[in-house]
Amino acid sequence: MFGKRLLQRSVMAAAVVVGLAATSEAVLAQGEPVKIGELNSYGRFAAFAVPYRNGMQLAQDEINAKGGVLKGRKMEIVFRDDGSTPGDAVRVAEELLTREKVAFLAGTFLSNVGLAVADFANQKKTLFLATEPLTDAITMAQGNKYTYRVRPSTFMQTKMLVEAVKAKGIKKWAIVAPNYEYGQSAAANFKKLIKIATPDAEIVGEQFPALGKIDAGATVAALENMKPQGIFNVLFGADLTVFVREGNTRGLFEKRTVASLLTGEPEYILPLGEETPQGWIVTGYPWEEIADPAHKAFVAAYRAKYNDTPRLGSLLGYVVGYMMKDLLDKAGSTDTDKLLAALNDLKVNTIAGPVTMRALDHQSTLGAWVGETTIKDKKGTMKNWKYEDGAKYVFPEAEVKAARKQ
Amino acid sequence: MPDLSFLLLQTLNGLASASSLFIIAAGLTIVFGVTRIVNFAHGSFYMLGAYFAVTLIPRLFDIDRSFPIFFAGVLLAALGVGLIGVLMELVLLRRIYRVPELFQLLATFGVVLAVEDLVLKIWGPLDILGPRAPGLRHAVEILGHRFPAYELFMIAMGPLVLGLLWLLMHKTRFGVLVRAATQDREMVGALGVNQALLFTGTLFLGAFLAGLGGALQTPKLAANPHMDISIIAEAFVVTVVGGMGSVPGAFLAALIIGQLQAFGILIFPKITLVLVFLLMALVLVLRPWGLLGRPEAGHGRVVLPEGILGLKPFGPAERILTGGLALILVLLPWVGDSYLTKVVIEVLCFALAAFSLNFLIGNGGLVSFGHAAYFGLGAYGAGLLVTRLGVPMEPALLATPVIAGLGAALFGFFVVRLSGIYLAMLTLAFAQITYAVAFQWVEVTGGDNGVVGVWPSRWAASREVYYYIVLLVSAAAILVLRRSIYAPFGYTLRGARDSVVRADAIGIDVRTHRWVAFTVAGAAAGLAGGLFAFAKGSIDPTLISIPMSIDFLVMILVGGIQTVLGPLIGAAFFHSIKDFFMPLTFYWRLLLGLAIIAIVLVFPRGIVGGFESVKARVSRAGARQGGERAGA
Amino acid sequence: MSLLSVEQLGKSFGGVVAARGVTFAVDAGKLLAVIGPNGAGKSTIFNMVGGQLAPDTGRVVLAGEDITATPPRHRWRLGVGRTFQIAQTFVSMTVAENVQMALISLNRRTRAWWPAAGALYRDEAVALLERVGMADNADRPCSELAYGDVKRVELAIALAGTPKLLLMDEPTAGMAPKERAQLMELTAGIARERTIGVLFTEHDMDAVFGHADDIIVLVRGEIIAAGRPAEVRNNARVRQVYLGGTEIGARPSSQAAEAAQP
Repeated sequence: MFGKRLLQRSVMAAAVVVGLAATSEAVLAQGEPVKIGELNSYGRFAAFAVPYRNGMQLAQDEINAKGGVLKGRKMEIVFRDDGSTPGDAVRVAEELLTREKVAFLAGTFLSNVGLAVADFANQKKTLFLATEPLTDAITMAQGNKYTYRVRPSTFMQTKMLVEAVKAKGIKKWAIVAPNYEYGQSAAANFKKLIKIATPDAEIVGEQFPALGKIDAGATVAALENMKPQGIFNVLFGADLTVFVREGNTRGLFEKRTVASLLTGEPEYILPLGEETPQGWIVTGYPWEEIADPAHKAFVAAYRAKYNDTPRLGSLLGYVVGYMMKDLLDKAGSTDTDKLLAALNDLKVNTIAGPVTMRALDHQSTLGAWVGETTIKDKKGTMKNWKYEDGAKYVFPEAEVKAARKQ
Repeated sequence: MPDLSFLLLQTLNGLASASSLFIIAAGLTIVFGVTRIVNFAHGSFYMLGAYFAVTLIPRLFDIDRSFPIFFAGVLLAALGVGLIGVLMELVLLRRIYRVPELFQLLATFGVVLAVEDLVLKIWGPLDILGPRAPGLRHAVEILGHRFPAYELFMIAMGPLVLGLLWLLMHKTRFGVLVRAATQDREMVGALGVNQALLFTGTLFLGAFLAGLGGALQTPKLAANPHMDISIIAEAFVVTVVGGMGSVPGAFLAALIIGQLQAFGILIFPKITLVLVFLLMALVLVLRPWGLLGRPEAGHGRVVLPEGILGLKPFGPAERILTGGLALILVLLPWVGDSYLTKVVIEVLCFALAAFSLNFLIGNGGLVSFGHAAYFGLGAYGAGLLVTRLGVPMEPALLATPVIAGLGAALFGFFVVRLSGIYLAMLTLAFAQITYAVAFQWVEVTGGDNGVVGVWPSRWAASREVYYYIVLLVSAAAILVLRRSIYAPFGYTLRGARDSVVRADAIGIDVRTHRWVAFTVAGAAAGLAGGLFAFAKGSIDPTLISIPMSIDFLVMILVGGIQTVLGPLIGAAFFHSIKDFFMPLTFYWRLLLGLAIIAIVLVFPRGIVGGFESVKARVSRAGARQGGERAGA
Repeated sequence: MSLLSVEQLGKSFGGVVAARGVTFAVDAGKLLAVIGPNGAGKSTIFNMVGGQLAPDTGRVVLAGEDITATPPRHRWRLGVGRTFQIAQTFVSMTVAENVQMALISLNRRTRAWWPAAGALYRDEAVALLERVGMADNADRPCSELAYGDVKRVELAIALAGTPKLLLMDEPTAGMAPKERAQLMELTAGIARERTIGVLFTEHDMDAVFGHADDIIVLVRGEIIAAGRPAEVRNNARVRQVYLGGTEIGARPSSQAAEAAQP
């Protein structure tokens, strides 16, 4: 009796193990490829990270089809989930370095994960290309010799928005931001920058709902009660959709200017669909309207390969893929010191425009698109947009030198 | 000064969120009342309700875009989730009703992990915004403010569901049985009721309510793969504050929490992170069984407690195994590569933390859901001393058990006054409060970014040297704790776990002993946290978060809480499979969840527990020697 | 002076009176039985004497000391040992370890961190088990014992505290008749030998009338009769309460004493 039950259980357990083996994606090495370790939140933040991986994969395939890197070696990006916590990420980074023997590290999504891996890279004296984390700290107060960041930071994107709304001369602003570092530092940046842009501007109130747990009715009512002329929004993802619905119904956005970070990115604007609020001033990525031929070719290739439209993550992954190639080719080696030397002031022609990796603060000058939200074919998109070169919005040299003490 | 009409509006907002919370929490509280299962998967049911609704309702709108159709869609989605609840009961829970309650909790946690990844796989990562309810899209003008009609509908839904549940509970045989089982589970078993059917029905009702809660949210928020996590903690808080098993209690608690949230954010815009947990801590300190809850019906029945049962010295097999393991650990830096050494460092830190947790749970019967608080206090203590005050590693490490011990003493003072699930929930509340402090006190703790640069002193900087430090310190701490389990102190704790009345009647001050144990376990976890911080080089609030506490629980349960060494095996096993799955696939949570479920089914008493029972069977099958002591 | 005197004890739960004006005394070396129909308040009184319940009114005095507000663990140190209606032992421990725990507590060593508990006071524990006839089972897990044996272990645990007063709530509940007689005989013997006062409740009238020195009869929380067994047996109200006036506890004690011999 018992023996039979035990057998059944063992078979179940074995089935699980076999299932695991089947799902593993064995990567077969060919020749001597240059390995790059890419860790990101592919599971927990899949909305961003999966298109990002797709974009990067596309770039890698194109590069390898055209002869690879370092005179004919293949570029092989090893993708790993970072577990979305600093603890897991640092271990995964170690595994990539010691087991996969990658030349350098790239990726991460959450700011705290990015910072932990940056510090790890500093300890291990390994290059880390932080692609997505937006926190200012990674290039400023906690910047280090080995860490470089690709995306425009919270500060840069906030500054773009402030510049865009400056002309309206709005005096009374309310802020709503998710209660974590990204939201807090965006709010702090906004307060600082709006005072410079509009000296008599006043912040009439702030709301910091917990990330992913906004009590939208109460928050919208609280904001309305502040009677602001303008609202600076940092909410994104699930919080944003609730906020928008509740705000639309209650008329929060009527006759008010809304400046909103990241809302124009397809990741966040697509779920809003027909309910996309119109006329918000946002940073984002109007992929279907960009006429540049190189960009159009990227969109076509992406659609062909994945049968999906690109997100901002796809663009970023693609851009970083080529940036890695240029980096390797310029360095002519996978030696970390040579890589660092090559990356300082590396100039790359990306499908978004020319980008420089500043040696000063290790921040790339990749920009963002700033425009107004609108609805086209029942889908949210951007109009009156323009690409803002990151070079115009980076931290001034004096501030960088004060913050980065190496 | 806010005007009166605004205050009214905010009250309505609070009522609307109270209704949503209540509907979800009602299901949780009913399931707990009848089955005594702490169902982590309730949040997954809620999420599935939302996903079913956003999938189903747009299709139904092809028939007719009307409110009745919308509502039919909501009910269908809830029904679908109810059936999934039935499936979970039949396939999983039914097989494990006889295993200790904590293992049932472990199984539901496996379901959470698996569902999370399955949802990603089925519906994709993008948030899905459901259609709004026809006829309720507009806003109603209330005292010059616009208020969504759907929110008014939600305000009505809460009392409606409460009323229907009251009818169900008082006018149907099923409801009467549910109430009877909630008050006295044994009695129902004794009455000859078909318990299996009752449990299946209860799981259906619970899952149905969770699904209903999720489906009703879709006109407000987009279905997204994080919904389960975001709701489950609050649903538990509502359930506990109201009194586990009490539906009216859940209603009352939801009302209070809804209003507190609505007005709390006006005064403290960042309060939402911690508000509900502050309330839960306060309520439990003042009313140990929640607002409308009742103490567990005392049977005085003698049941074998969950946890360590009997101690015996190692036999030859164990000695050889332990000796071999110790040898491997000592030689590890020579036989393994530096990554393996790193993984083992982490395993050793977790092993100490898990061991200290089992010192409380397995030996003391004090189930803590918030052990990460003390792990985190140690990590933060070490990290902040090193980075902010420039203290070297050695004194910082020595300070970690003191810091975490002080924290544990403070929280433990209140914790040891409670028992059972309420005790567990109070530990959770304190852990969340600690988490919120670490998260919010940005100037000192670095907020959610944490603090980096927590590295060992120069002499200990090499991987190998630090490995030996961790091995030495954690082994010494584990040995000291283990020793106490065999000493009068450990026996006293175990005795108090077996029978508080008996312990009291032989002159034992149970509360004080438990308080000391809580403090000691906290200190040991703090030491583990300190060692971990130096291994990682950084500290951040995830070290204190609920998932971390759950990881510790999973480790000791996977290893087995009946044995002294189970937690060590559990820590090693859990961390290794996580490390094994993560590079394999991005769906590693699914695999981890399935592995946990498989372990619960194959080894319902943990790995070491399973090993022990196999061994016992082998020795029984062999020469039967009389007069030998049984038990493991 | 009596060993235990209980004065005007009262307790009600909600509106239900469980005890009112209960007054009695127990002398050293004597057995006092509390009897009464179900729900008469026996266990309530018991738990007030043991300290598990706080009385609404009245006093509990042990050897001249007012212990009304003293928690059970302190009463134990003052010499109150007890057994429970549903036996309370440490089920994860062996028989000997259960008794050793009581001895460890008696010697105030429960906080000791280092010595192996299994070796502490082992001989004393075995000696006590010997006294209750359980020495052969010293190393068996308590969870494996027959119910009657568990009651004996409880008695040994209670004796470990060198009590002056022993409280036994239905000591023979759930036992076979032969076992009952044995246990009562054992208890009576120990009580006389060590001059321990025993307060016990019991449903089994053979046990009560065979061993009690005095009996009090409780109905709805009040004492309706008290005195020597013979007096109580002949009390008209008691007869009325105990179903239609049949003589109760008729079996002579000598018979029970014989049965107790192994």
